[in-house]
Amino acid sequence: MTEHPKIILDRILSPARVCYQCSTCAGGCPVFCNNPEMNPRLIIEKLILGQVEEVLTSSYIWNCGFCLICTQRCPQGVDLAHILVDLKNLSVKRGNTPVGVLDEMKTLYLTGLTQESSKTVLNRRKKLNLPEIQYPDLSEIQKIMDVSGFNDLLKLNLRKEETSEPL
Amino acid sequence: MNEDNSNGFALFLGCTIPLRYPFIESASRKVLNALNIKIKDLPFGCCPDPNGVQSFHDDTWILLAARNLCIAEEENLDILTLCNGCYETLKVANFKLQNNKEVRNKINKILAEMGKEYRGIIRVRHILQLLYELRDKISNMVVRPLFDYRFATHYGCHLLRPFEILQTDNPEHPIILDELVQVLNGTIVPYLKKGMCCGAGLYSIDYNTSLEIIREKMVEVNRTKADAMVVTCPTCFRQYESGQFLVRKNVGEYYGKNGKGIPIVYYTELLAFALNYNMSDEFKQHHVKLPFP
Repeated sequence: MTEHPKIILDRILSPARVCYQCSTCAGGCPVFCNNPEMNPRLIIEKLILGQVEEVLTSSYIWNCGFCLICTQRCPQGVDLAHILVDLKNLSVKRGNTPVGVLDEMKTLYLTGLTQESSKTVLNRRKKLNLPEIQYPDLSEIQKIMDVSGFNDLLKLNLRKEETSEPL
Repeated sequence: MNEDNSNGFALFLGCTIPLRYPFIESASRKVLNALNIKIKDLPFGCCPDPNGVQSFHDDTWILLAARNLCIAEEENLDILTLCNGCYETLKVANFKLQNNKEVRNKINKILAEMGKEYRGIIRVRHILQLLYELRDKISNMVVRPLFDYRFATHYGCHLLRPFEILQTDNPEHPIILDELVQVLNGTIVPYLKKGMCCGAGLYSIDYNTSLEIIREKMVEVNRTKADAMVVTCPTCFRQYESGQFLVRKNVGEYYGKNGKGIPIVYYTELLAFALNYNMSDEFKQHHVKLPFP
């Protein structure tokens, strides 16, 4: 399933080239308004100028909350939100996943869901006369994640997390 | 494909509603029952999360979504979601798989190993769309009209975007939730930043910015003195329900009547109340007390 990073980069870069830097994306971005470090316009500019490595190794690409306002409003049809998804995918391959995301992925691999069940909630369900939860076939979900390469990426990122020095 | 859904729907609960906010599930089941809509529970996995999982590995994201779609296809039932995130993931994945043969073949090769095949024969719908189509029927069923209450509505990003695929409503000026509240005789209050994201995608990555995003919205909703804020997604619910207290802790801002917080309510809770269901058990499970008797 995996594509070569160079091919992915071409796929990311070519649709970005039509950007004329009007900043509509940044104006609507809920993150940029509160944390100017995450500037969608600047990310596209850097990509066009070939500063791909700098963007890829930055932590701010992970500050996109994927609300898709930028994609919706871009007058040139640049799908910024999915360009950021592609960049994050590449960042994962280097083991740079933020802890919060990694925790969610770990739960997904171990349970097939992204929320763990708690006694309190199960009791609340009983009180509300809700039916038993139908849990998914975990072996099937894990098999998909083994074949797709998800599990390898998870291991790579967890190893990197363990060896990284505390700040 | 059955266009009229007389066989009902496969109810897609997702992760957050059954395992964290079961009162949303309870209210939704009551409402669907009242409207004579048949539902079937199936062992779905995580949708998966359109932000986290797609950002981590988009190939796995579409694979797991395809697996869920297959489970509903085996029953020949359209999927009905209660969560905006599940709605976006499943509908976008369904669209991509239906329209891109190359992707579909790649996915089916892997799914074949577990005896599954994606065929592209079902639709994915959000409960809000279904209720909007039934608004005239609902209007005739209201027993407890909400004349005395004023509501601020919040739609959430993944109900509306990407518009080209989801086609739920006008993504810049949506109206379906407002109209559904008005059907119950509630009053809609206009407010600034109504279309703003809840900031959930950032919560585990950039906590302070996530709280700032919540704060921007709460300040505007607070200005309207609304009795409650209506949402259609459990993730938005979490951001505003517990987030407003995290904002209070961070910057010392108090919202709602007497500073006790603004009640957040999922639309079907409001609807179940208007249809005269006893909702006291559900309402008790909220952090902020709802204003209804």
